[in-house]
Amino acid sequence: MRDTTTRVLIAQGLTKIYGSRGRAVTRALNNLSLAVDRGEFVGIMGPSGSGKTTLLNLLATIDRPTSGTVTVEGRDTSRMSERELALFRRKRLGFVFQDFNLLDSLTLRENMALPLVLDRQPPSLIRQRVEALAQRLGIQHVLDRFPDEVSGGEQQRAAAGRAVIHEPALVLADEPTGNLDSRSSQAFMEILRDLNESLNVTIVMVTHDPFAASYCSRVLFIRDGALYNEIHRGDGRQAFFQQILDVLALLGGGSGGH
Amino acid sequence: MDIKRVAWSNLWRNRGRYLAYLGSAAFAVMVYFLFNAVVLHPDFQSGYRGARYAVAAMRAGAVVVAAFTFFFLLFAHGSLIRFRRREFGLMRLMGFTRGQLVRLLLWESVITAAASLAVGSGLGLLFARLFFMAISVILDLPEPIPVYAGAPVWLRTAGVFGAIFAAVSLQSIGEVMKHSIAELLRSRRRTKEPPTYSRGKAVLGTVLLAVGYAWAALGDQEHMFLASMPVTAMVSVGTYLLIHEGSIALLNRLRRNERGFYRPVPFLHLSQLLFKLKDNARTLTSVSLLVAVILTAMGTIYSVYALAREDALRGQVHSLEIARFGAGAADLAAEAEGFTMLLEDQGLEVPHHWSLLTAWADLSSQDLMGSVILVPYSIYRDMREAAGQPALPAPEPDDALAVGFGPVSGANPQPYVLTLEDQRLEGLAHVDEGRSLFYLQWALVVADETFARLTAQAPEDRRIALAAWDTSPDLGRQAIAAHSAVREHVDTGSGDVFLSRAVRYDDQVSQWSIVLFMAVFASLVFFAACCSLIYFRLSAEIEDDRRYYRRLSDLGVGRDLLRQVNRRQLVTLFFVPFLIGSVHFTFAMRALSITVGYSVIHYGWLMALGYLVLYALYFLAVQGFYWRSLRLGG
Ligand SMILES: Nc1ncnc2c1ncn2[C@@H]1O[C@H](COP(=O)(O)OP(=O)(O)OP(=O)(O)O)[C@@H](O)[C@H]1O
Ligand SMILES: [Mg+2]
Repeated sequence: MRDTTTRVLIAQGLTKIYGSRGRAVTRALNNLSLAVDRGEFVGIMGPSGSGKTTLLNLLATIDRPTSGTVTVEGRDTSRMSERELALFRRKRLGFVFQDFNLLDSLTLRENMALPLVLDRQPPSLIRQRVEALAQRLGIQHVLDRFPDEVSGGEQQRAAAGRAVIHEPALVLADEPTGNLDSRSSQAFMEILRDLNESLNVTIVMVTHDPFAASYCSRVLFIRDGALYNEIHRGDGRQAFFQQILDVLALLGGGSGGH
Repeated sequence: MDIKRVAWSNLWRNRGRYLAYLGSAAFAVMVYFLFNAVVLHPDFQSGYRGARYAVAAMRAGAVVVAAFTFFFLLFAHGSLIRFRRREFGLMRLMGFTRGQLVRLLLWESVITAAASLAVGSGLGLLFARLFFMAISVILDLPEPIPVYAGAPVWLRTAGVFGAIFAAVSLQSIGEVMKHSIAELLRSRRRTKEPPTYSRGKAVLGTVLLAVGYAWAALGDQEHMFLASMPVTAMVSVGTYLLIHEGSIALLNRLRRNERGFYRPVPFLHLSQLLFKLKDNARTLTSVSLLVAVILTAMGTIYSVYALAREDALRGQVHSLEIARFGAGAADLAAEAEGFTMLLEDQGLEVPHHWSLLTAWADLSSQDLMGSVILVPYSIYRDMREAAGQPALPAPEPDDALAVGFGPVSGANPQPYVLTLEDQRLEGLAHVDEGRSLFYLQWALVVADETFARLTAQAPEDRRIALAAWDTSPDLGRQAIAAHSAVREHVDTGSGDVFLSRAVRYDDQVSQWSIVLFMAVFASLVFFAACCSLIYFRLSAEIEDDRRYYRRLSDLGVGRDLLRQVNRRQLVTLFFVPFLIGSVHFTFAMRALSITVGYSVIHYGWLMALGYLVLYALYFLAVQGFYWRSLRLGG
């Protein structure tokens, strides 16, 4: 067992039951537990409907579990008020979604700056951080364009920038490459890996794409709302990729078919 | 398939969007119903006192309301249908024939028309009692007129609004039919390009507004009326251009100022404003022009009313005045005694009464030039005392007091020469700037002995007899009756002058009060339209806004901040057009002041304040409602 101080995220006995008032009840998550250490890059895979998005939403504190707890940096999020949660999300979490989730009314620069603006950081510092990060993400030339005016890959890189700019404890990504072609996917995954390795950003990523998952240091597989398997990356990415494909074949139900 | 059921469920599904449409339509129906209840009232046909005004005012109001409602509903329903294009496309795709779609649209129209007619006329019936009571009070009728809501009122309302709804529905059927299924299905692409600033348009807008304003502010009395058309057109186009280009320029500038912009609220608020600018500019322009129209129309009517009131109250010095010229003048004093008794018999008190047999003479001095009536100092002092106003000390035998000329620029006192046939008087005239003594404005007050000497030798054709009464009450039904009784004995045909403040007030003011009353109702129809324009904009935006605020909420933006941003958005959408409309209105009132030759801006603002209060209430209601509709959980 590793030292718990390096443990960024602990989820224990997460159960989520959807449905109320006469509707059919869905048990989307069933007593699922997981832990993530600082600097880890964790992938979550599983068939469609297995509860991946549900899990991520619980980790992101934008939904509350039916039972179980989520602890980030030693703080139990189930004990926090709505207001504390919002503040916690803003300061300690970063998000990347499948549909990029940039605000259309802001330029890429402003989208990336949003967490710092909400934190009332001085404009000079904001500018400096955004530009340094944009350099790293390779989008410095489109910073002053609006999301509509750049490619999906560029939007997603800006979204990644927004997710890490305030140095969160944990970045959560739900199928971040789901809307990207293979070239942009690869470029994006390389950026995530770079952020993970050079800036030591902790990332939890849901994905259907075995190739994207091969960038992770560890991949969890879930099925019917429960943990099914877990594999660690050993030597090369190529070997890891093959390992992932093997588990997916065992898992059945397809990788989601997206 | 049961088309009627589909129509019902369509409307029910879109009820949020149709609410404002149906609401403003029903309100217009109610006002139209009430106006026609007056126009068609049987008692008013037989010429009730003041009924002529009421019927004419309400008839004009009904026409304005119907015409405006026609255009407004055409516009409003058009945008509702455009919003639902995709829905109709899906129906065609699922196998609705063109004929079925037409029948569906007809059913929808029948339902909405029936609903607004029923609700509107129902409300009309509900408020008819209050409405007629108000009219009875305004016209000061001896007894309240009976409530009337006979079949003709229902028929006319149903006929006119039925025709309006039919036209609106034909237009929307045309709109849906002219597009192919593919066109209908093509979802509104809502990529909003960042608006670009055009210097040319900004300059054009500024020039149009500046010229329009300058014309309104500096024009002369004669041409103001003719100018109102081009000025209105210039201001309307200028407003749109300036709102559009001006806000782009302003917002971009604010956005570039990092210190100001990189703070949570401005960051979100200003970027959203700029993002929505294209869609908002049209609504902002329409609302600000509507606000300007409402305020200006009401401001004009209210000003005319206030001026008429002031004129009736202040323009006439005494409650009742009679004047007789020439040969018979000497008899008036004796008759006047009889009139006093007559007034008292009619139940009035007569605290003051003056009779004066005098003559007119020619006055000339540096500032005072023209015909004046001579008044003895004793009567002058007595009148001033009765009115509670200061009197100047008695003049020396050859000196005089000049009354009714207002302030003079030259020396005070100043030397004067007075001639009455072959008599001549020279001395110093002290100017009394207070109000006139009789309806004949200019008077020269001289010492009683001087007065006696001068008038004794006046030839007959220079004689004037004046009689004046201050009565209590001096306004209202009783005063009118008493004054009218006196009038019976006055022969205005042979040149006698009869002036009754009560009658004049009634003539001038009660006709304007009924116009004002009607205009308030008509303006509320415009006002409701104005409010629904904002509602349309908001209901078009709510999906996007919901997504926007959810997204921010997911990113950890607290509810307080979201609420603040949302409130600012709404404040901008509501109050910027009101502000712009008020500026237009101020210039229009300035133009009106020039036309009537009297400053009326303060009346206008007083009334604008009333609308602002109403508008602010609407804002508060919508603001809370909109926030709840965003459903941000928690
Ligand atoms: N809001 C909801 N109400 C009811 N049931 C829901 C809700 N959200 C998800 N579910 C159900 O919970 C189960 C898990 O859904 P979830 O979205 O977590 O799956 P997923 O693994 O993300 O699938 P995919 O790969 O297709 O995105 C599914 O059966 C789904 O139908
Ligand atoms: Mg999912």
